[in-house]
Amino acid sequence: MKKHLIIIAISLLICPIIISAQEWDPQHDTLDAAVKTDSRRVVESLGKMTTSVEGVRRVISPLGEGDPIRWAQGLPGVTTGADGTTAFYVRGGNMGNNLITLDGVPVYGYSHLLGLTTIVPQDVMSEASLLKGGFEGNSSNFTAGHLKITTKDPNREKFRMSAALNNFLASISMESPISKNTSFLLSARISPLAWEYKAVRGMLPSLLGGFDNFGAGVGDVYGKFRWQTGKRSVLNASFLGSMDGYSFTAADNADEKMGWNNLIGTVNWHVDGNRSFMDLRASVNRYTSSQEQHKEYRGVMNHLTLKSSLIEYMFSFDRTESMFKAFKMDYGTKLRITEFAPGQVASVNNKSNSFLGTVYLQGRYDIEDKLSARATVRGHYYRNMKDKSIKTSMEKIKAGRFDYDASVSVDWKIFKYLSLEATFDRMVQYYHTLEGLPVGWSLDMIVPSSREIAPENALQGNLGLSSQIGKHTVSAGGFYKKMNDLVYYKYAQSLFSGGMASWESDVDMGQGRSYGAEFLHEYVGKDLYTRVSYTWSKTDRFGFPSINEGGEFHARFDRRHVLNAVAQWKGFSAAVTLQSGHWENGAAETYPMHVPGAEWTADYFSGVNNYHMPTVFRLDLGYMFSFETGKVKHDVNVGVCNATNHFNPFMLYFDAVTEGWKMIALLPILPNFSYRISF
Amino acid sequence: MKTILHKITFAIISLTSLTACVRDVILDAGEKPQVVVECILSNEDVQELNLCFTKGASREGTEPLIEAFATLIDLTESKTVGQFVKGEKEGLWTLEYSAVPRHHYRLEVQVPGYDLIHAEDIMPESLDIWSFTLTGNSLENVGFSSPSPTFTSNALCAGTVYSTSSLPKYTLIYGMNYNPQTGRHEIADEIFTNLPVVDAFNITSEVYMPELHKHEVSYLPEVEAVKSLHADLKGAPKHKQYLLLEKESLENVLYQFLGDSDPRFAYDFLVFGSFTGDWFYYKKKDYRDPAPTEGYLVFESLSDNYLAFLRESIHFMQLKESSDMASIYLRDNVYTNVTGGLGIFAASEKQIEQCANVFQTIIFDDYFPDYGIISENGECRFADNERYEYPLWGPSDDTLTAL
Repeated sequence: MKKHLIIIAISLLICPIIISAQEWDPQHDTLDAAVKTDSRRVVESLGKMTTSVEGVRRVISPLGEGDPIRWAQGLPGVTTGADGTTAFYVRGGNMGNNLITLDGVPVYGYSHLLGLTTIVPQDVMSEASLLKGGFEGNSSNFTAGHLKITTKDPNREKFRMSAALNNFLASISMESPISKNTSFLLSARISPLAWEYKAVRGMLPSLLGGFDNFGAGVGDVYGKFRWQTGKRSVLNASFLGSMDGYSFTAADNADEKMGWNNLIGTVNWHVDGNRSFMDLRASVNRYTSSQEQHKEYRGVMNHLTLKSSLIEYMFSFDRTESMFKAFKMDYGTKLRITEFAPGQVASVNNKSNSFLGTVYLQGRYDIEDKLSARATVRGHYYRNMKDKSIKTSMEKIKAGRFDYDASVSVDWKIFKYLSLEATFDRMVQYYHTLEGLPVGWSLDMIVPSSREIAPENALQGNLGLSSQIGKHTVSAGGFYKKMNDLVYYKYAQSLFSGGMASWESDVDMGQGRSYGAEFLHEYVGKDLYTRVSYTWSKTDRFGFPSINEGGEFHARFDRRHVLNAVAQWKGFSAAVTLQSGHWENGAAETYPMHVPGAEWTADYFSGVNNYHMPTVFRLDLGYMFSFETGKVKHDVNVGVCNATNHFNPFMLYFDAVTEGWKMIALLPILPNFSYRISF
Repeated sequence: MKTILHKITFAIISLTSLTACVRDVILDAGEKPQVVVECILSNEDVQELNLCFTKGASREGTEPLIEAFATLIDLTESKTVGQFVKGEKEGLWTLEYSAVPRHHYRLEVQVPGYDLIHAEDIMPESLDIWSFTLTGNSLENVGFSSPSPTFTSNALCAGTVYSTSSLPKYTLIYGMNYNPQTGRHEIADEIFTNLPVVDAFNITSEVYMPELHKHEVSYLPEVEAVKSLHADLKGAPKHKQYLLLEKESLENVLYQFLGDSDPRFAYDFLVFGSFTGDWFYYKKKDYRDPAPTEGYLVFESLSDNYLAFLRESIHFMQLKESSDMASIYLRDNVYTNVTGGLGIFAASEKQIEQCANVFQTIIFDDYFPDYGIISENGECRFADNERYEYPLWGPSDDTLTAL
């Protein structure tokens, strides 16, 4: 595991090269950041927050430009995993309980560059929303947060092109009309990580110790084709391919490789009617991950290849109709056929197919500036094909199962400046993520629910008040969430372990509970924008038979206090994060005991996740400016992440040499830079 | 100049990054210490109770437990046996009492600042082990019904055979060797038996393969009988330090009737291991206590709670000694039957027995005229000069070749 952390350390170390290589001279005009102030406001409702691509771009990150997950990590109700990575947790759920969609299609292996960013390029993004409650009818198969990423439509007027370079990625994108009714958008990114490694290796070989032969193949391609098929109908076809592959030789002469890939193809037909609209969508989604190790052990070369894959075919139909003046009805269906093959080692393929059919009905009632209410009911039929019907003398157990879930949200404007908001959700999720390192790497195995490992479900309620007075928006609320059939994988932090092939015997199931209060204040001025979000919450787990004798224990990322503050003035940005430390397993209390003929020291563990890690503090500073030369627009971002170089450890490991425990932090003080041209 | 400056800046940042990445930590969860109780009731005259607190990871040592009030209650007779008295040694309390087999006991401990700590257990059945050491000559009177065969010096020692008419529910067997360097008895590391059913909780990957004794001779029927027992020992799995016998499992496999008139089960078996300094005696009337420097074998009858505790303790002990890194991440607690605290309140009965390793001693200084065997230059042969190389027991040459 330490080896993989070194990879991240290397990747973080490499970035200053880029800076030192850039001999840029700010000789041009330093214009104000081209950011529309209205687009900065994120509050749409207590359970839903939205930002434009500009809002995403302004988030300070190691890449020099933000991404949707980093934006979401600064919102109330959200806690983070390892500092500096894309791991995030919403209202006490697990990381794998979040749903990330790109134009309505789930993205399972969403992280890029060892968890530093996401696979969706900024150039294709239109907006991003985070939903924490009051989920929409066509959102299903998750139990925590839904991060919706929407792509922009290709430009139908003229050809546009842009190129960008930052610490870790070089990208190019173009969009253009093809004919009167057709247009396209293309984007490609590639990472120079391997070349940067070679440069560091050449300059300071001693820095990298016994870590050798590092290779990285990281990139993505996105394409979208738009066809205006009629006056009120549009056909969109898009694809996204991403690749993350890393290889290295560790100090013990083990050749190791790991990586993940996504391939998503979508066709969507949208039709607007007089009083209705309809979406018909088909998609194919292939996500694979792999780990390989070639290592000599006792004179024999051992080879381990562990592969996991998921292929999902999805068909959906959504329709909205305006029934009366203030009432709208949404209904639709979504069919998923998924081929799971988690933990394939040698001849073990672990293949199982599943079918999930969902129908929903949703009513919306809106009285402008007074009341907005929505009620949704969903019905699911799920079957894991390896489950067969069982008939005994006592009962008959069917192979498939029916579930119902529901969402309700009410937004009542009590006074001119004060609204009361309430949401209620019951959600079911028919797959499980066996979560490993909290760094956002998309290496965690995704496994299907079955008769033995039931679907996860969550019940949550949220009540709050919000007020918008002039340039200020304030919201405050509380939530309660109960989670059932959560999965705990005992060897979650193992990499390169053939034992993952027998994952079914190493999972335990239990429950979770989370409650807390969320607060958000936004100020949107002409030049000044500030946002302060604070979350107080308590999240625990219990009822896992093999853990803590079924008793309660802290969820690993049960951070009691999470404070995020952002201030942007003209081109300057500052962001502060202050979070309670997360929980790790403390060392044992010890006591002397005797067995016949010997004395020994016994260990006593009062529980799991009982050691509170240090508080996380991070100050990020950035400056963004734009200038134009002729028809070419230049955007430059510079900044420093963790400007105070605060040590924010995210995990522990046992050093076999010193026989002691060590804390690891990923993000030291880290300058960042990005440069974008567009015309 | 600019380039040099950039390189220096890069080096500083890189070095800062490296040093910022990893730090040592002592993972003390800072929780209230637990009271640890350790009391194994026995058939000895004095019962001992050890009390202490657990030690947190960042503490140098344990906080001494000075004040406690401990009572032993006999639930079978519904009476208080007595209060433990604090001894001179820190953490030790004693009570003059010998526990009665099959009686149900309850221990109550009151420690200021803690809720009542209590535990219960039942004293196990008594042991009834016989042993006898067979020798290679003067065996006329030797038989398996005899507990003490005759023995003379300059003899071929055939080892000790153990016998019992009925084992208790759980029996633990281990050898104690005298270590002259420490001046103490220490547990023998290896132990085998020819019994076919032994708990495998501490089994190792090795098996017993007796050495080939080319000079060992026997044509005595009694020794040949032991030889047949020893033959079973070949290929027996090696256990680390302890043999654990469960009566029920054994009875399913191994039993014999002593006779129609006496329908008791009987066991005759061998125990072999890395034993040194053997203590053995020959006739019942010759019985003597082991000398301080002699080793011996211990048979211990265990209560259910003690069995559960020992099984897990031994497993964790061996795991800690192993090089398996996975043990670092295990968070399983050792079995305890103590409510309100940790440790164990259990019961056992011990019996120590002689142990002479099978054919571990062959004395060639004299000959065995009764059988026409003489010993010359370290070799054993018949008086008619025919060299005798038949291994008494051990793998045949064919087997060795195959191995």
